[in-house]
Amino acid sequence: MDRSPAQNWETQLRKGVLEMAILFAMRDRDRFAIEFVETLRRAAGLDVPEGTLYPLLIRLVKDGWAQTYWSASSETEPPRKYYRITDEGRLMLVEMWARWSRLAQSMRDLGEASE
Amino acid sequence: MNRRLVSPAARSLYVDYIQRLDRALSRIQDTLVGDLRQEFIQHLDDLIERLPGDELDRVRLACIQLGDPSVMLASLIASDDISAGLQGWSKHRVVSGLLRRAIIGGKDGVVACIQLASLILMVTLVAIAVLSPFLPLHVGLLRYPDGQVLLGVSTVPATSELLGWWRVPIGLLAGFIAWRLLKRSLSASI
Repeated sequence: MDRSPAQNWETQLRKGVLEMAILFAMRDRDRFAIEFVETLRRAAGLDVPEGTLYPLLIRLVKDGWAQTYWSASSETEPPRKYYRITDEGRLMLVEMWARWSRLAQSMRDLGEASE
Repeated sequence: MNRRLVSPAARSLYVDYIQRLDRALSRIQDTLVGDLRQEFIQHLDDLIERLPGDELDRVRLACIQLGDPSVMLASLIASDDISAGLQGWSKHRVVSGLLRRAIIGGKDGVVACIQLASLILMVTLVAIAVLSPFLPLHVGLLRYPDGQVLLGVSTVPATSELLGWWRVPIGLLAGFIAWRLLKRSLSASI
């Protein structure tokens, strides 16, 4: 089915905020890959294909915004690779959020002024 | 390896996916490979466990959801190609990585196209410098009888070449500068 121009625009917009969304998902607790997919879909309506998620996670680790570790396996749980936000990542998230909020406010102001 | 699968068809599908994953991972020399393999397999197992349906459906859906491993790893393979190409001065790996990125598209794809164009420009400039003593009317800033002027390498001989022997130092210097700029841009994009 053809997507409307507005839907395409929204898809691009959502792609642009994925890094921030992943950092947010890691802020409260460490997560493993499939949890990001589920959390972002449930909490933010963001559909993140695995082909997009893994390169993003690897880039976050390479940039020093996240680090990884393997959990020990138990009888019920296999070992999993967890992603943890670093202090540098937290600072980056604060900065991203501030910029995002400023941009959102500017758009709101612009929208209200032109009504 | 998922040991809980009992259906032969589901097991076969699962094994086929792991084999395709291994083939895709064999293209990456990054230190992350061991980690990634285990992580992807765990991801696949998690999906199989969480999806609805019978065993075969769950494996099939999980493989579809995780996607073709070579496509999923395309951007990692591209970065690895460029990184290895830069370290070993292997231009075909750099070109392969850039082509892969260009095919993936998006912002990185546009940047890859610009980098590819810069690489072609660099090779042309160096070719002009190196070939000018041997093919004086085939390389450089060439003027043709119809007044057309062309910069580069041509199989058709021109009536005159406008840069003269300056094309050797100009070609080498411009090629060197283009390579330095390209190398910096490629290193930043890995």
